[in-house]
Amino acid sequence: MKQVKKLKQTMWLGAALLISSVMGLHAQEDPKTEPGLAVTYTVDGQSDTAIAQNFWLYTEQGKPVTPFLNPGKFTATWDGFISVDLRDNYTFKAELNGAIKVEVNTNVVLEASLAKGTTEPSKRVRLNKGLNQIKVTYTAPDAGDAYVRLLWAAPELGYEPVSLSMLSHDVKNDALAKGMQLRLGRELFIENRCVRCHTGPSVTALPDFALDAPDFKGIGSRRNAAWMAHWVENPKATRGVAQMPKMVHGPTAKADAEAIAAYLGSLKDAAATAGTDPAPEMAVKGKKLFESLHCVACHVSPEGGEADAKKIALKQVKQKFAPGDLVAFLQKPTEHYDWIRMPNFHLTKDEASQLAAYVLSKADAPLPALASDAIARGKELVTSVGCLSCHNGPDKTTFATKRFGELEAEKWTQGCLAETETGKAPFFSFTKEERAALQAFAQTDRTSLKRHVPAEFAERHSRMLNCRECHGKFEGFPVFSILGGKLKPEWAAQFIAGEVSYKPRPWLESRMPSFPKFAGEMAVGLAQQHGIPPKTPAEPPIDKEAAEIGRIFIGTDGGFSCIACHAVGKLGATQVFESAGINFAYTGERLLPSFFHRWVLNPLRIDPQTKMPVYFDQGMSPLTDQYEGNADKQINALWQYIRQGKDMPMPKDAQVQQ
Amino acid sequence: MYKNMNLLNRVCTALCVLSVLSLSAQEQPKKKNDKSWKESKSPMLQGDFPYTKACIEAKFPANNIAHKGIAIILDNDAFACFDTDLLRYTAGWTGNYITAHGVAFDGAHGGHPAINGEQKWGTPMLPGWDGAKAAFADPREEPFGPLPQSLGRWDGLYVSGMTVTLSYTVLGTKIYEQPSSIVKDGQVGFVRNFKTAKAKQEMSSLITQVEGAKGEVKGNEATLTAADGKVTIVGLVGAPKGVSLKTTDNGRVLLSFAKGAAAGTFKLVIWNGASADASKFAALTEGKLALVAFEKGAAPHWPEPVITQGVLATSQTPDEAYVLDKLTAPENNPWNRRVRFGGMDFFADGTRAALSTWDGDVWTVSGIDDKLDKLVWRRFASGGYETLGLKIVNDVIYTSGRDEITRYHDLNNDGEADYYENFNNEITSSRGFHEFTFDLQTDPQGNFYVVKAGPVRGGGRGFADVDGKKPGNGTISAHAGTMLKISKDGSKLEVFATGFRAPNGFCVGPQGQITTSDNEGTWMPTTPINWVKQGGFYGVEDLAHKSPLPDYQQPMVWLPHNGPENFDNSGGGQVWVDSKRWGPFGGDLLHLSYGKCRLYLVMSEEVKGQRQGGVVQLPVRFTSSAMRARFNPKDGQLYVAGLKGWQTDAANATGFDRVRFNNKPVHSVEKMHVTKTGVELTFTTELNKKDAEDVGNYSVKRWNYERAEHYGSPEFMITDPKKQGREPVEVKSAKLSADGRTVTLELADVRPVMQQMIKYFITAKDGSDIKQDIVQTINAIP
Repeated sequence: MKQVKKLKQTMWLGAALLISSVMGLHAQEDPKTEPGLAVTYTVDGQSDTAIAQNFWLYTEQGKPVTPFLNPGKFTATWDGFISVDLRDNYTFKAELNGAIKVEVNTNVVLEASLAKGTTEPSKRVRLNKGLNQIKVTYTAPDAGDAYVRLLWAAPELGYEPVSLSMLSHDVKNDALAKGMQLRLGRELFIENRCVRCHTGPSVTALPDFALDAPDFKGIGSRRNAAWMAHWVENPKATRGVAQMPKMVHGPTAKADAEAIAAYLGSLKDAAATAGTDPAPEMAVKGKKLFESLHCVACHVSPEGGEADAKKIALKQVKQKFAPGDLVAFLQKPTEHYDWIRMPNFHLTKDEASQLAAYVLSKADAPLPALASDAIARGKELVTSVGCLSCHNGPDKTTFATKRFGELEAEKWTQGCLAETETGKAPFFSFTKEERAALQAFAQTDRTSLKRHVPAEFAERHSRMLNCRECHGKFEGFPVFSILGGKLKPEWAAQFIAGEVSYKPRPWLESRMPSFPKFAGEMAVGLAQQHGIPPKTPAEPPIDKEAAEIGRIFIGTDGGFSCIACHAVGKLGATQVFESAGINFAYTGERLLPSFFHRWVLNPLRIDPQTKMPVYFDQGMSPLTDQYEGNADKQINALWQYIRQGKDMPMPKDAQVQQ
Repeated sequence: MYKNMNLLNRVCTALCVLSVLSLSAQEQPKKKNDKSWKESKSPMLQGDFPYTKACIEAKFPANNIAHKGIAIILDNDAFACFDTDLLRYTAGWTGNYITAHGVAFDGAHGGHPAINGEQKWGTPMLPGWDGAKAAFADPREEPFGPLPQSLGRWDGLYVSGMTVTLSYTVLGTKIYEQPSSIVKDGQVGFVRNFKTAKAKQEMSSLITQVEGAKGEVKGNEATLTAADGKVTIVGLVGAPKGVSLKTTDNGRVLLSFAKGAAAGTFKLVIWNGASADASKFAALTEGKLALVAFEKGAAPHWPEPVITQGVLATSQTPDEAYVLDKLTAPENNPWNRRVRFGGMDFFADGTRAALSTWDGDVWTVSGIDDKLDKLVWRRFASGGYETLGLKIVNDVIYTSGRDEITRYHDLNNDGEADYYENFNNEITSSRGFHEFTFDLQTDPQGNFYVVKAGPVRGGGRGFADVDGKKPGNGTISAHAGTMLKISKDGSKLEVFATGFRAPNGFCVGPQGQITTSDNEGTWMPTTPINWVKQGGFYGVEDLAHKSPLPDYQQPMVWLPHNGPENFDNSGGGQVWVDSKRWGPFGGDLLHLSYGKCRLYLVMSEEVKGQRQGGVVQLPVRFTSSAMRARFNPKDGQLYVAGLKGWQTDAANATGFDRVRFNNKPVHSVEKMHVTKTGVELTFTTELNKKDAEDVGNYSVKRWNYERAEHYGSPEFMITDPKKQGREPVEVKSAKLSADGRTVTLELADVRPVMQQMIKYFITAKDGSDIKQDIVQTINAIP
């Protein structure tokens, strides 16, 4: 179960702190906990338990709430603890379509059934220092999209999500262990592209059934054959996190690998010309770029950082890439591999050359040229052992194996899933826990492979893509866990895909890379994790009168002086000191109105390190000339102004810079 | 021959065009008080007051900056800038006034005003006066601060309507002068009207310099002819015996005083123009030799008062023990002046106060009483250089600005200052926008103190113009980032302590205890409250002014700038509660947060010779930021003034509020002491024993900061200094004393730590909730 446990810990919460039992009121009595809540979904008497980050979900009508259950009317029950530093009284309320029951320390504090609305606040609930048991039961509506977002408020503060670091669940939970094991099994099945050989499930059932592998066309012009031989012989020996299985076995493994490499090396791109590596003196700038782009999130530093099996070393780049090809790869990693995890940083040719020069300057010497010329043998292997199940190439595969439906559960200990190399089947080096998870998964009806749940997709791929290695770790990166409740999914999709033409935070040295294949489902999934619909509901037309008051508010004279730090269209921020804000012309298309409201009301509740001032106190504004100082109305006026986007009129007390 | 004719024709035509142009200029002579430049000037500048003080850049000679400049309006769209450090005019110009650029004007973080017209003449950045040598070598150790008093002393200025009288002393000789201008025949003459005492020594003044020009003196006219043919003429009219003009080989015109030169009233006229117009100069020297009367005061500039009505009880503490009353500021005033209070003090009777503004004004307000229903504001003075401190001593107003401490004299008792006396101007000031002079306080012996910020760079990180690219960021001069002590009579200034970054406010207690705040940034991990001792170094290594680097003095207490508790990212001033009518906190120290607009009680103690303490908020909601605080000698209540000028939670441009004790029981912690095993908290009221002794009602966390060159600091764990975060400290027990007012918390361990936060939610014996957050610093354990 070790692997499952690890998955549980890293799921949802990324860098969230483990709840320490010392915080509990009676340390010795507190159960052992882990971050996140246990949530049990039930449809037609069937249940599935998983970890959820908060008391939120969004499921479109007719879609499943979890991959492991049929679509249909469901209930979701979150179980866990809220840990508070100090006893206090809180109120809860929920935005939902359906019915909700909230029990805190076994008392029912909120119970409501609503068709698309927000409940009345609960009465004040005392939470004690340490762990407080909480159970939230949500029942989906008979019709319409199912959603719920539970919020709470301390006495002096506005409604907000419960901080993730406060939520935990009891580690003793058999249903959860089972649910997480099935998830791991399903995940391994998808990530290892099992369906590519064991055909059967509709390849369009899940978007990530399309996960591919590098294209063989012209690969001989891009990769050095000697390195490909080395790689094919044992991918995991070269890279701990390699997904490619070992395809050659036994005493002929080395010769077979070399034959395959010889053949692949012969697949030249007719249009390619011999490249050259960038000038070594470009490495100085490349090093800076390597640092500012935070490449270390996924790669071992070429300077020789700590060994980390989860990170990709860069020592082999000279052995692997044909001269000049590293630059091309850095500029467009997806060129020959659609679902590659390496994102596109939209590097200029110069930047890519600098980065390549730096990485190459620290790399090991190239391998001696490949001696084998067994091209025909290689071609035969490539077409027959199954390489072409995942890789596209100029040839047709002759490989065939059992279809997915024919894989009997009891035999998921053989072939690819044997403990040791069989000498025939691909060998994935699965751990014992991984094999157990796959076997458990095999025992199910496997219909989960037909159910795509965007929230699950987003959780899995954000983990695989190391999103949290930057978001939440480096200065200037928004914490990953808030993004789904912050960004409009339409904009997030464009941004993740690299289709937004501007950089929201132009002052950052780092930049958001793009993940075009993942973008759409990721954006929708993150939103749905937060109980946010996949399409932002249309707002009423802009309230021009309020927008005009908002225009006063952003200025200095009679306003909050927002323009001191925020640019407004072409008007640069007037007094940026240490910390700039995002150009208001972009804010309306980026942010969910609910987030904007919560952020402006008290930004420190969302980012304790923000330099953004806190203007409002207990719902009141220091500016009392408008709306009698009502914070909500004033923030709405700001929002109406912001919604005008790039057409927004400039603040009255500032002149447009030339 | 024909060719030459042709050329002559062309020259004639050109001359004709020129003369037509000058004719048209003559046909529309500039009227006195013409508003043309005033209409085009920035609303941040005043056209109805004779001068504006700032750092002001001229166009020539190169690098001609008045670090402490007075831009004077001379009428006829003519202007001149006087440099009070070097006792010289930097430039005379026509056209528009000065640019309203810089942090106190358009808010720009970097830069300062420049002359905004056609410069006619100027002087190099050298002393304006010298003795017999007439070499004008700069005797200062660095190009900042005033000339040595043995050479010259800036004494101050008089305001008489739109006339300024500059007053200074050179080599023991008293000099008054009134700059003005004259226009005749389309020519502008810059006039310096002098009234001088008998010259005690031989001396001369550098009037203007034209590099490479040839000079000659004919009688009372000195002419400099530049290589381009332009001419500068200086005329001396009515010179007393022994006073004459000279020129030098390096293109200077000097006004020379023989030893014993007679006292007198005379004038200099300075003109620059085309040689063809030189003949028009003589007319510019006509007119009377007399100074506008100034010594007895003049008619008021701003006779009309501004009446406002205060608002009682705009907010209150949860226990209702303190309420906030708003003293409405005169923001709607007939002169369209911005009001941003940066200094405040009371006159002896307590019904009147004076407040200085960042924009250089001083306002007085009377009618401070229980109801605040008629506050009568008068403008008292103007033109100051970022006057962010004000102190009243014996009912005389003093302000601190970037350039000097000014003592104000209302010579004719009309409610406005007539004489702006330089009390002490030894403070150095460079071009840096961030070199604020904060606050003004006196100690029990009557000495004055100010504190000066460092020349922080535009983006907030680091100091000064290190790479020569942004001179507007300034230079680290002798007093950058120091606290300065000025003797009671103003004659001496000394550096008292060093290493401050942006200490927006400080306090001198009744026993002479000195505290300052500071502001997160380079070398300043978060907001401190320092317990300042003479010679102490308080953290910013660039501003230590000592080598080797002196020992760093830990602050009395740090206040976190991060976290939802929103403590303090930018400290304001402090004040000791020297009132018996302000509830239970008599004799305690209060701290203000500029950035978070908050009021804090500081509970401090001395352990093993080290000051340390904790702070807790007294939650009232100020109108604007909280920067300056004084107790009113009459009503015994706390008054707080502040402004919105740079990053702050304040939304209103200014505020002046009263925190009034409401004569209800206070529910708050009052004292705290660190013990060997935990912390002892004493409350103002008896506590409910059950709640007070329930450890579940307390939460304690702690962390450290990293004091380093980067901007501010994250919070770091004690057990793993590389890891960010706050660590919980187990509260093992809570015991209430027999008198029901002191809780002793036993903690898992007590250790020196930069920040420990104690939160509690307990109840008083009367049932009221007491929910507070204390942050403390433990420097030593008893």
